[in-house]
Amino acid sequence: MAFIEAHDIVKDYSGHRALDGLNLSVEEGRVYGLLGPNGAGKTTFIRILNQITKPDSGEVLLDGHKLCPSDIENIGYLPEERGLYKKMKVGEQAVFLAQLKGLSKHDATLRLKAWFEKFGIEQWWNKKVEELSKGMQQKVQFIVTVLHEPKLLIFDEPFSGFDPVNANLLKNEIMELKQKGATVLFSTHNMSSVEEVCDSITLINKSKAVLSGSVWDVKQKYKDNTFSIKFNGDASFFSSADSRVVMSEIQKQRDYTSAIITPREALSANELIRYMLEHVELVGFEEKMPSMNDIFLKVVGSNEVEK
Amino acid sequence: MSKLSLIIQREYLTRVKKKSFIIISLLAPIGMLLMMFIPALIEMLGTSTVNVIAVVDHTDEYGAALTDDDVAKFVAMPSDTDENQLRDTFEDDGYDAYMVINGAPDVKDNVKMYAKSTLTMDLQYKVLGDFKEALRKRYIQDFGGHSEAVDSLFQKVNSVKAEVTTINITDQGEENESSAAVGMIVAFVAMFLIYMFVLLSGSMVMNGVMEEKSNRIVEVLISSVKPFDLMMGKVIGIALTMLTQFAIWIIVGGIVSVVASSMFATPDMSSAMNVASDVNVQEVQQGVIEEVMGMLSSINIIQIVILFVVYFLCGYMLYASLFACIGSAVENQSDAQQFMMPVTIAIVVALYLALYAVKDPNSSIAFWGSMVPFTSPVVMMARLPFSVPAWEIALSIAILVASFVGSIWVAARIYRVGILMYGKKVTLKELVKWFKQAD
Repeated sequence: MAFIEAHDIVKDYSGHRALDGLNLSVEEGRVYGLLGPNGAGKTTFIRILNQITKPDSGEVLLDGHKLCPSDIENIGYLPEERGLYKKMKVGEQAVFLAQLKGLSKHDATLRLKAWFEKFGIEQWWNKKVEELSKGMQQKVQFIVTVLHEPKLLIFDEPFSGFDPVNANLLKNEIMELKQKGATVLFSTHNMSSVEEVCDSITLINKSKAVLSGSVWDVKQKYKDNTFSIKFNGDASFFSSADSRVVMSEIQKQRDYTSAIITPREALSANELIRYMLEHVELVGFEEKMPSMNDIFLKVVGSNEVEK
Repeated sequence: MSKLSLIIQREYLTRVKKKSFIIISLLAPIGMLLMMFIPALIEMLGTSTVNVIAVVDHTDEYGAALTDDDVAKFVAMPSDTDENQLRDTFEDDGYDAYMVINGAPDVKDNVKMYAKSTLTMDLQYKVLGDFKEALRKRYIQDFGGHSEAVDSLFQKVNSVKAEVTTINITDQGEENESSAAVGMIVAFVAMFLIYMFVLLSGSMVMNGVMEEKSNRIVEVLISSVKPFDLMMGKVIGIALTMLTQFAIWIIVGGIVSVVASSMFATPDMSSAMNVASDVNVQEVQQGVIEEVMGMLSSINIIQIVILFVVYFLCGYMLYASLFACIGSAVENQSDAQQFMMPVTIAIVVALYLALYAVKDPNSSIAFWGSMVPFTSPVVMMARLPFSVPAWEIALSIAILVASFVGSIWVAARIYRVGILMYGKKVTLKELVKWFKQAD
C-alpha cells in the first residue's frame, strides 16, 4: 500500500490555480522526487502535506488514513526557505523546535546531544545562532528536521545553499534514513541529485502531474532507442542501404572505433547485439539512456509548446 | 505541554532573560525616583554661598529693611561714599555686589544693584522680599498710621485662603473626601502608562512577527503549529512580559522609595534641608503625603489597579492583533510604516481624548471616547478616578472584549497567509484578498 496517496488535489489561490487535479502515490521506504519548474505547484503540495494549507478539493491519505493534526509529529520538514532565531542559543532553540514536534524536553536534549556529537558541533550548543557559519546553521537545521525520527521526511530543495561537503553529508544521511525505513519526499529542480538518490519521481508542470513512475521506467519511456558501441573491424557495410541500423558519430580511437547506432526497425538489445556481431567484433555495447535533465527539459519544453 | 504554551514560554523567557529587559526593569523605577528626589538632593548639596553686599542708602529708610540671612549679608556704607570709587574697588573690598538706593523701590531705577557676575535668583528674591515688606509698612504708614488692627488685617489679606471639601457619596452611602487634583494625577499616570504599554508591546509583537518572517523560520514553525497558535503565543507571551515588567516596577519602586525616604529621614539630612529653606520641609512633606494618601484612599486605588490591568490586557489584545497582522504582511521596517500610521494615529487620538477627559470626565466626548474600543483603554483610565458609573465601565469593557475577539479573528486570517508571502507589494486590497482566502 502506498504511504502517501493524493487524489485529485485542487488548490486555488485567488485567481490562480496552484494545483489542478494532482494525483500521486509514494511507496513506503522510498525516496520520491517531486520535480518541476519554479511555480509548478510543488511547494503548494508540500504545504498541503504539512497541513499548512488545505486543498480546495481532493484528499491526501497518509499511511492509509486522511491527514490529521497528529500526523505533524510523523513528518520532518526542511523547507526551501530555512532559518532559525538568530538571537537564540543553538541548543535551546533546537530543543524548542523538537518540543514543537512532540518530543519531551528530556528526550529532545538527549537525542540532540547525540546528533551534535555525530556532526562534531557539540561546542556550539551554547552559542547564539548568529555566531554560526551558514554551513553550521544548515547542519543544525537538518538535525532539527530529523530529530523526532519521522516516518515521512520532506525536503524542499535540500541542496540549495549547502556547500559540497554538507550536501554530501546530507545525501548520506538521507540514504541512511531510507535504510531505517523512512519515506523521503524530495522537491528539487537539481536533476543530478534526483538520479543519485530518488527511486521514483513525479514531474509537476503547470499545476498538473505530467510524468510519474520509477526513475528506471521514466527513463525507459523517454529513451530514444540509440546505443553507443565500441568495435573493431570494417564498418563500411553499415553505411549501405541494406543495413538494419544507422550508424553515426563514427570515431576512430587508438584501440577501437566508437559509434552511435539507431536501429531502423524494432530490435531488442540482444537481437541488435547478435546482428552487429555478424559484421564486426564488438568490444562495448551500451544503450544510451536519457538523463533526468534531458527528460525534464523535454517534458517541460513540450508542454510549453502545447500552450 | 501544549504547543501554544511552548510558544508562550519561548516568547516570554527569551524576552525576560534579555539583559536589556533586566536593566530597564531595575533602572526605570530607580531613575524615576531619582528624578523625584533630585530637587531635594540639589537643595541639600547646594551649599548656598553668602553674598556680601555693600549698600549705599540715600533715603535713610529702605537700606535698613534689608536683613541678613544665609543668602545675603548687607553692609551699610556712608551715604557720601564715592560711587565711582566703589565701582572700582567693591570686589577688592570683599563685596560680591553693591547697591545704591536713590528712592523708594516701587519706582523703576530707584534702586540699582551692581555686580561683576550675574546675581543668583535666591539673592534677587531675598532683596525683593525685603523691599516689599518695607513698602507695605510705608504704605500703611502713609494711609493712616501703623496699628495692630491694620497689621492683623494685612496678615489676613496676605494669607487669604478658601477651602471647599468635596465629598463623594459612594453607592453604599459612605462619604469619601475627594480631590480633583489627586484624581488628575492618578488619571495622568494611569493613562500614560496604558498608552505607553500598549504602544510598546504592540510594536514588540509586530517586530517579533517580522523577525520570524524575515528569518524564514516561520515556515519551519507552522509545519509544527497552527498559525493561530503561533500568533496568539506571541501575543500572550509579550503580554506576560509586560505584566512582569509592571510588577517588577511596582516592587522595585516600592523598595527604592522606602529606602530613599528612610535615608532622607535621617536627622542630619533633614536638618540640612531645614537650613536650606526656612520652612520645615519634612513637616510640610509629611503633611502633603498624609493628605494625598487620604485622597488616594478615596479614589479606590485597588479598583483602578484592577481595571488598569483589565484595560491594558484588552486594549493590548486589540492593538497587538493589528500589529501582528501588519508584521505578517510586510518584510521590513520601512514597509511597515505605511500600515502602522493609522494604528498609531488611533492611539494618539486616544491620548488626546484622554487629556480632554481628565479635565471634563463626564462630557459626552469623554463618554464616547471611553466606549470606542480603539480609544477606550486610555480614555477610561483618565475618567476612572472621577467615579464612572459601573454600567459604563461594564459596557466599555464588553465592547472592547468583543472588538478584540473580532480583531484577533480578522488578524489571524490575514496573518496565516501573510507570513508565507514574500516579495509581494502589499496593498489594502491584497489584505482583503488574503482575508477572504480559504484555508
